[in-house]
Amino acid sequence: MKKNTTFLTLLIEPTLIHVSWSIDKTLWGKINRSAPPEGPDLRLYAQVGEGTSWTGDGGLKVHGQENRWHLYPPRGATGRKIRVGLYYMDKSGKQHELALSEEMDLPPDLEIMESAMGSGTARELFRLSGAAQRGTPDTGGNLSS
Amino acid sequence: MTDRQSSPAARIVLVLHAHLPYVRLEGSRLPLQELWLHQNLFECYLPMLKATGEMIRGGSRFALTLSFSPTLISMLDDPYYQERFLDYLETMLQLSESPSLKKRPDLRIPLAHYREGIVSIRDYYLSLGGDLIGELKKQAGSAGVGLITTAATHALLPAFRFNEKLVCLQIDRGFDIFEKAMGFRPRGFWLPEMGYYTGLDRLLAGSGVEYSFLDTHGAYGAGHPPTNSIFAPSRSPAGVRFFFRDVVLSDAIWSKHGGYPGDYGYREFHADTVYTLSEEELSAAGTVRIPLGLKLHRITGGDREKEPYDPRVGMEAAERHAADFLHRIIRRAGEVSALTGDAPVFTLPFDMELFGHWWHEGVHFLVTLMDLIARSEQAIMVRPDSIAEDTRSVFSPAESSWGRGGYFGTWLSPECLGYYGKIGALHDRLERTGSRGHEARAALHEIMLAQASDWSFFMTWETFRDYGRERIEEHMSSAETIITGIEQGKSDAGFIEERRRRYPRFSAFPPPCGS
Repeated sequence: MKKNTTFLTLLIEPTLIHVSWSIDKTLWGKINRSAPPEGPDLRLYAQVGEGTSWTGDGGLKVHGQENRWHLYPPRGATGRKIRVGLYYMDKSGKQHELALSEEMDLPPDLEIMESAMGSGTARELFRLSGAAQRGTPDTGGNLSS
Repeated sequence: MTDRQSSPAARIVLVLHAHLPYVRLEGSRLPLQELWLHQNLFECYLPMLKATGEMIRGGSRFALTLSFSPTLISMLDDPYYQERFLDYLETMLQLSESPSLKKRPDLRIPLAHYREGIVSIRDYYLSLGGDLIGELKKQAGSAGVGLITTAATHALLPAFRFNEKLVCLQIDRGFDIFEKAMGFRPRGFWLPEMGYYTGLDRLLAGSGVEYSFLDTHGAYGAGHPPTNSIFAPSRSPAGVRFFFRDVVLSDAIWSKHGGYPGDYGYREFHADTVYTLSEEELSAAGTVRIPLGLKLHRITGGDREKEPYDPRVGMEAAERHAADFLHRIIRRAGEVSALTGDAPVFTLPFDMELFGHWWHEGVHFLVTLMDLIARSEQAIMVRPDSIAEDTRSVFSPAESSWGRGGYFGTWLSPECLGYYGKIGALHDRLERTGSRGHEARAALHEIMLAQASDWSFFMTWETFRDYGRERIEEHMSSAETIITGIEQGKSDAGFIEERRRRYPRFSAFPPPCGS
């Protein structure tokens, strides 16, 4: 992570990732001078990847020295360990990393997981557990207010 | 407590998590935010401790795991609050004797019940000398009560995953504050909001956490599930044992639609008779029209006017629900053990404040449930540290939280999201100063207080939204002032002292990481 840059990624649904960032102002000024602006602002790219393998579409176009976004991970990424990267592209078209998240486990599609369990005990236990209910009861956080 | 001679059908791990944000508003009498503690002391913490104390003395067989957050411990240990709590009780007693209420024969029974409650709790509190921490320590020496800790200011740890030091700060200071107050280091750790992110188990293990708790889907979301599903603890790759919330059983209590606390015979939480009193009556008690919590009506149901509360009906409903809950447990145990061949472990974690505060009859429900279990051959209560290890069961814990949706959404309003990164940036600035002195410690305390999940909860749910925002900004701004002073070599000792006076008990605890 670059100095004075923060990058937070959190799951908010099994297939929806919240991403927020704040890029060091000095660095932001520097890359704005070295990269071609697209519209009023420098274009950034938020990309979901697995290990060193990144989606081939160049990622989602985002912008802002400080901003937040929601990303849908690519199809097939559920149940895998992924990272989110934030990049910009210089004048020659080369990608530069601004921030890279820690690894996160994307929950598997529980229906697929259940069917992959076959018809044995594991599947019955999974069914009994209630994990597939997904929307857990509204337990709130701090109740005392 | 260890397993009984005959094999029970179900092993029940009941965990009550008690937490309130650190609030201290010196200078005003009974401010709204301090009522959270007064009301929970009166309705939840003290009745629960009184009940468990009686059970211990009576030789009852039970096992309860209690998590008292460090911020709550700090307030319970503070003479400032001890005096104010007694003032709150006296005020409520006086209000309950207001002339307009005495003219209401329909309120005679609920008023008598209310006053008996105040007198009983006041006497109990005075018998403890106001020392709840001492009583907790005493009870923790019994087989029935186990204590665990949680993050220092109850930070939603996944929100700070981008900065391991901020996460470790919360975990380690949580242990320190607990240990200083209770005199021993607990083995278990409650994850605030049951929030887990990939890799957190490594930090927990590094801080000495032996066991913790995850929501149900935390068992399944990361690939390798536990051998016995959620019905037995399982070890993470870093070696932390996790117990899994049983969402199906919990639903009997939590569910908004059909959960026990919604029974029409129970006392209504939201109907506060303080709002019917005259200005003169309020003034005579030295207070104003705020939700002080004079509750005299039952839920009633439908659009009808709320009817007076009948404690006999409410307590009977709690007993009926406790019996029904045990019946559900035993039935479910039969279903699970038919598959696993073993007595399942049902982990039932709850916010403690649900019992007594939000659900008036909740303490009676729990006491009845524990009594029924003690007399049952088919169920037993156990503490997490007494369950034998199944070394075969290793799993990958998944990103999860409790709350709506199960993935942090309860604490992620657009407004509060921006704060997490800013708190991280302040911590980075402090780190770069290299300072380890008392100024750095003061800045870290402000950073930790800003991290509390309560503020983002308030902002996300628009309950005390302004207060949540004000508290985050107050602590961030104070941290920034102190850090700027360190950077410029011109620390403002007066400012630091003023902040210490404002939140004294919390800032009196041991120095932070690296100092």
